[in-house]
Amino acid sequence: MRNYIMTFMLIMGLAGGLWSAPAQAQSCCAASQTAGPVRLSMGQTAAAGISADARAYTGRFVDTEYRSLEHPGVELRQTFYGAFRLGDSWQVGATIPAVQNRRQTATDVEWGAGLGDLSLQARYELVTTGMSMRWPGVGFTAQTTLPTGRAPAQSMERGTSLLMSDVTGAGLWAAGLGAQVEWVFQRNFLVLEAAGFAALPYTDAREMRVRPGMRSAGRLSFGRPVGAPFFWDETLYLASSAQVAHTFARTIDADVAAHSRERITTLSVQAGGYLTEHFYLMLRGSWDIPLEYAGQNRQVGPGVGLVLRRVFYDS
Amino acid sequence: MTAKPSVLLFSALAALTLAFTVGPTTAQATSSLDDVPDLQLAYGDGDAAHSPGLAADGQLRVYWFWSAHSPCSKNAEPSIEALQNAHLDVEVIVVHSNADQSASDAEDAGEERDFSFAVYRDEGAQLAIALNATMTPEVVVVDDSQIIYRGRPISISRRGTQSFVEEAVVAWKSSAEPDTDSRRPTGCVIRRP
Repeated sequence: MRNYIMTFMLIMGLAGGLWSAPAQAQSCCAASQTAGPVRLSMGQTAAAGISADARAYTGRFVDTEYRSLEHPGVELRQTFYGAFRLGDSWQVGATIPAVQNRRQTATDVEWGAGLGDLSLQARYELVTTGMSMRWPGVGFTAQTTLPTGRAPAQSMERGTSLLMSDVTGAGLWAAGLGAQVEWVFQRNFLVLEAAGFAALPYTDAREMRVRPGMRSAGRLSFGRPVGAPFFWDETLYLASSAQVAHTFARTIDADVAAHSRERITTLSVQAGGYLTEHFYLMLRGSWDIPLEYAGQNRQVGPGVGLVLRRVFYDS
Repeated sequence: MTAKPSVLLFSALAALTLAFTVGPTTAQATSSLDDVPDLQLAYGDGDAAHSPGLAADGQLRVYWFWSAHSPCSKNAEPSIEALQNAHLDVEVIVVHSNADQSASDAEDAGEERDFSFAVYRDEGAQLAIALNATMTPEVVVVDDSQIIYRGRPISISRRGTQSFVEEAVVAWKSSAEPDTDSRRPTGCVIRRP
């Protein structure tokens, strides 16, 4: 599967770099088309949709050393989402995933499923992307995650899943703030995002006080719209991204928990287009870099996803 | 897990976010048209300059924000001509505001596509800023006392073209209540200096 993803990413990268046919859309629109599912572009008032993602866990980092997994796991995720605009500068959205896991050992195969963690998001646009000749687009985001999924502790308590395939959430109340800066130059766009998240401490089953580590994430995306007559606005929106996410060590009763620092470095590509004025389809692929120090204490692997979005305009 | 304080804390955070969210979205600054310098004719037949302002008594004026290079704006050009032809008594001022383009871009586009309408250059996008026009195509329709419609001028779909601006004009002429006095514009951003 990793080879397919790498081939897909290579083709998309070459297409984005070399394709020079004129696109109907401007780059300022393209930056929002290839962002997360709850991001609305300037003319849109609301959006709703579903994304279907599949991810194979082909390796894991033991501390910072990468090891291939002999029995890869698979995660399927269908995320339902909606977003709407509040005035010119604000947009809010929510996502809720349904998760199915396949876990495997030398002797057992186990499937588990359930609802994942609900996420609520808000975005404030200080400077609209592409509007100013002097300033890049600047936006701020806020996000909260509610533990609606089944946490590892709940899975153990439930006791029906030996390989914990029924774990569908982190079990944490978390909140985060972020900033996005978007540059438009000629027909290209460049996006820099940074965000930090903190989760509330809790008391575990052993009556010990657990303080989850802060999480930070940085993302750099580059893309451009290219001409594609098949699509409604004759444009294919292309982007490629690199993301680093880092989770600091958690503490249990003020002691640092061993192997609780996490890091993951991911490359991804996105390609999407409007099938009609109101329906947008995006294909995306991701690949966690399996090199030493690119990750830490995390399972990693390639993933693919399909996003279908219904967008609404003032009518 | 101690759920109760967590629920309280996150409820407070959500309420704060919502309050912060809804509050600042209602205000929308619109500066006075009197401060906007005259627009200069960039293409077509018409007065050499246009002084932005409200329409004459009992009249309507449409400011149609247009870009030389925006595909969305280009797709809407037939609707400008259709509006002018259908309502000869309505003054349609096509405004070219994009700061990343020049007056000669408007002239070149006009000659290449043989417009029947004149195009006025809004140097420094000052009219766009004053009327808070953000995209092309976008219209601001004014009578002798106020803005009667602003935003998206038309909708083009596979079923055809629906002209919201013409609906607003027809409603005003017949003294009927329009469906709405604003629609969020779609298209390409007007770049400001």
